[in-house]
Amino acid sequence: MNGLLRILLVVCALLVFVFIIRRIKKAEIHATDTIFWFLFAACFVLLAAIPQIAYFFSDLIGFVSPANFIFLFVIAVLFVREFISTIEIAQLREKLHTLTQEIALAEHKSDKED
Amino acid sequence: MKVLIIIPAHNEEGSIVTTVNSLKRLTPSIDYVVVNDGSSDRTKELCEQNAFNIVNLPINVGLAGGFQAGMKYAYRNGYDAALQFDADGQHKPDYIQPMVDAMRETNADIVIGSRFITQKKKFSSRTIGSSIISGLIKLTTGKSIKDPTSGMRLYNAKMIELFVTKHDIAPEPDTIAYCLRKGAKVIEVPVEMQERLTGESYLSVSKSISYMLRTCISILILQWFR
Repeated sequence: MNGLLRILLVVCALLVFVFIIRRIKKAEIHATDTIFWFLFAACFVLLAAIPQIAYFFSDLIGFVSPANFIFLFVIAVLFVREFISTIEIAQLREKLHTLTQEIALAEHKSDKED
Repeated sequence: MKVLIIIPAHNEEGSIVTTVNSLKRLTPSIDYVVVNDGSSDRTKELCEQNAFNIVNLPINVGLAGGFQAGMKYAYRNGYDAALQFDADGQHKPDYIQPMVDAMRETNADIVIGSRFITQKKKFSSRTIGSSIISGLIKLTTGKSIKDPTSGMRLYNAKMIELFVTKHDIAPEPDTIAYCLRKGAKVIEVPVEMQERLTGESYLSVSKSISYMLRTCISILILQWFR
């Protein structure tokens, strides 16, 4: 793992950090939702600071290059995140449908009573 | 038996008045409700002008959510059965009473208005899709449903409760398969259908493909885990 990749990791972590802070300032993102991204960025910094982690896992799984381990790690984490988002969207959609139906039924009922 | 006809309507300004008026003329003793699913055209205004019984969803939630609103209406107003009826004029009110009678006589949970009991399926892309779904239902439940894609279905109180409480249930063929496997009694009654009066079928090519994929995946894989 060369120095350039380590620098790149730190730069990416910084970009994530800056991006999140800007969204927080604009109140576009909730504090709870930032936990994941901060931990994600922290992982980048950790891997850049201690490349031995990447070497250890590359040897363990049998990768030629530790960079491959980092790619796999990032893809896996984002994969899980995307899956969680799908579930969250489904739950939100269900709530939205329920609210819509309840509004319509309540309105119908009050029309009838008038 | 107290029956409610549920008419989900999304942008049906061209046919809604004719459909509801013919329902009122031909089945005056049966209650109905139009569920306006956030139409952007004049569907809502036309229903109000004609003093139709309408539940008005402020935004578009799709057929499943719209139909569920109708089922909630049926559930809360104590109906014994609910009929799914298209707003576009495809379904003929003359066949409603025979379906209700069939439910009363056989104690069925679901009565499907079926186009293919007396008539053979004509060869078209639509009937191929229907045959594939029939085959999958036969394969997974052992029961034969000749017209699984018919949108004219009568559900009893037990099914109304299912629709109200479960959010992943849609008025689609995979629900028929699911209910069959859970031990529901499903029968078919012969009906005729008309070509739609106005508007465009919601089944475009891409939508047809995603409809088939969704239905097949749901019947083949998902229903075992529900």
